[in-house]
Amino acid sequence: MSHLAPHRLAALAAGTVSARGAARAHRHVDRCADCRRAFERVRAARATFPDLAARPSPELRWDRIRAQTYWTLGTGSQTAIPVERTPRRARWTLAVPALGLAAAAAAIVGWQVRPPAPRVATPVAIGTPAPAPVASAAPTPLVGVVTLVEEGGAIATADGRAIVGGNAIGAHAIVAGDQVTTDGGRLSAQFGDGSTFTVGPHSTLSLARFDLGAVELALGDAGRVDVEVSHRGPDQRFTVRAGERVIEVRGTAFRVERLGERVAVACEHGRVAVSSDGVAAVELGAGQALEVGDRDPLLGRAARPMSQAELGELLAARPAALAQWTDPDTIYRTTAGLALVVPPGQPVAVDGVIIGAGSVWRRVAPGRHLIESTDGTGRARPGQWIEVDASSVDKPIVLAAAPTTAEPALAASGTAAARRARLLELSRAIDQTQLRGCVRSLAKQGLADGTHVELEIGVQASGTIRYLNIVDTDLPDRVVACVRDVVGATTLGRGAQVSWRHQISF
Amino acid sequence: MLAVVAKTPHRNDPPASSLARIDERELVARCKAGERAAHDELYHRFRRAVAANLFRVLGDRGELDDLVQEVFVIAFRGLANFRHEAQLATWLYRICVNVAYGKMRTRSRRPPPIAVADLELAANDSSAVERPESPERALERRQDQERVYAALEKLPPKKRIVLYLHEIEGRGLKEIAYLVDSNPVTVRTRLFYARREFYEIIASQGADGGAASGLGPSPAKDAS
Repeated sequence: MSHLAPHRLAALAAGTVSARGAARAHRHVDRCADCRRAFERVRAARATFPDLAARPSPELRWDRIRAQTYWTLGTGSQTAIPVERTPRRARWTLAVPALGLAAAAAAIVGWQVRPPAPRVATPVAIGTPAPAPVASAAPTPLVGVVTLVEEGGAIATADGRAIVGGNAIGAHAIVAGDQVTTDGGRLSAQFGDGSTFTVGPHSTLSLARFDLGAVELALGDAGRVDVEVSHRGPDQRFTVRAGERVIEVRGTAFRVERLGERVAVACEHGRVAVSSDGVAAVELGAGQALEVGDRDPLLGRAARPMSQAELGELLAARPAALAQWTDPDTIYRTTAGLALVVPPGQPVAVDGVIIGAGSVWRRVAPGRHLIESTDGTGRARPGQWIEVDASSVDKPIVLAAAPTTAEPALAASGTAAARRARLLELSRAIDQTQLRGCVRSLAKQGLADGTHVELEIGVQASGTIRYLNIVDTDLPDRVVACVRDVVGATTLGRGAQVSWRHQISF
Repeated sequence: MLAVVAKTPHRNDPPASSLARIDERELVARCKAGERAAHDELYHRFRRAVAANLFRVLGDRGELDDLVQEVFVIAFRGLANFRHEAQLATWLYRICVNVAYGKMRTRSRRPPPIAVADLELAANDSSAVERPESPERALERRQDQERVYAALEKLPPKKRIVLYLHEIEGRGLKEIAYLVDSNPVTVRTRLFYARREFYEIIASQGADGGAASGLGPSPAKDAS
């Protein structure tokens, strides 16, 4: 006996079959046990559709997702490194499909073979680079916005002033003539259309020219600079001088390192040309590096491909960029400095991205930011949320003073007395019955004793709970969500605006 | 216009910002102007809808955080090209569908189609709680849902998407065509084969959700 096709059974279950067809199908289903079973399964499956279509969103780490989104927007817009280039396949371009015209077709139809990108660059002799165009008026000067200061540093300005310390450097607008010197950390600045440079540890970088006509950076006797050029102005030259060598940018991200009398250049993406007085140049493509002595001839030298580890290191050193770069004026008006003090050498992350180690000053957009670091023993500490306000420009927030114990530093705001008062109020107002109800099923199994939920709570002056983060817990997600709901539903009166951490133990 | 993914306020949502009451056009305009608060508002307005869409289409919450992030990254980057030809929610849903499609294609392994923990979310849904049902019935319902997602998992991504949008969400061919960036005729053809394969799998699932019952596809006949 033939059977009904399952999709016909589905149509029957959905009621989209004609009355005559439905009657015939039902007669068959009544007689055929296989089709009856199949019909039941199809009907049961279809019965779940409304539930499936109405499934609610699971509770996710919304703040973290938001923070990561902004970071991706800020840092992920750069071109990824083509780590391993595979040669493209040859492909046919069939221009004239006439089979009889073989000779003519041979001219038109052919293999378009793109050879693999050469792994080493061929030295290219070039003439003296064209000088920057002579403009009738002086080119518009550029301003560099400091975005990251790690472990202090100093800027010597053209008029002889010395700017020292993270906060002061962060507030300084970098201009032509400035000389940036770093200690054990890095210093990043953003300028132009979002281009960035990061001066490496123990380095000196002078800004010989810094305008729309040309950017000329000069490395000192030792040191390192990582540059990412997002866009150059028309006819704008961008060079880094390191000893006798001039590294000219052709739209790229790269690193220049001065090692005594040698210069190491590594190109992350794009293309740079290393020349000496503009006489000869070696071009470096993405993922290529070159190390050359000051007196070594450039002609005949070739770049070498970088290893995965070298590329990874270059990526990790990518200059710190602001998520939504516009122009220096707007950036100064709408961002704030965030000063973080953690033990020397301990990495610190903002919104999930490690930005440095030790004392770090970072320019951030207003809003909530997740700060994560390790304690004195190197153990990862629970993250803490801090609120950065646009009005806190020039008033950097110092998070914590070098905690050396495993005790996590609190992102607490408000006075201690105000926090205690709010905590007391919360303890009285919270619905204890509902709270116990959250762990009832666990308690029945004897699994609730000793468990805890650590919350980070922000309360506005009006009494509204502004945010409620789960910092740490050893309970299942469902129970934690219940606890969070109970705490979130608690009504508080007017009072101080505070935030604190609170552990609920069962 | 197309059905809209409505934003439903959630009790865990933070208090409404000053932008909470501005309309969609103004919100988009402010986002285009680079206003950070507007981006925040858009995120808060649609985050749950985006997560729910991805959750429903994919059937499990593995990497859901990353996928939600991907949707908003694409959305924020693409807002400059948003011309209000569709509602913002529909446009976002289209991105969700594409992200989900990409996820299906790149899945290197097939995880369990739907975890029990995920299904508990559905069980905790207020609409479900309002219907008193026995534990046995609840278990049956979960098993049925697992079977549906198990069957969906076996379909190629393109077919799976159109089948989900049509059969489970009840969307029309034109809507689906917009969401999957195709044309209605292609969608109809794809849907035809998707339904055939899907219900074939459903019908052949044994009581344990696995073994075939012997109902073969070859000797089938039309009932209409």
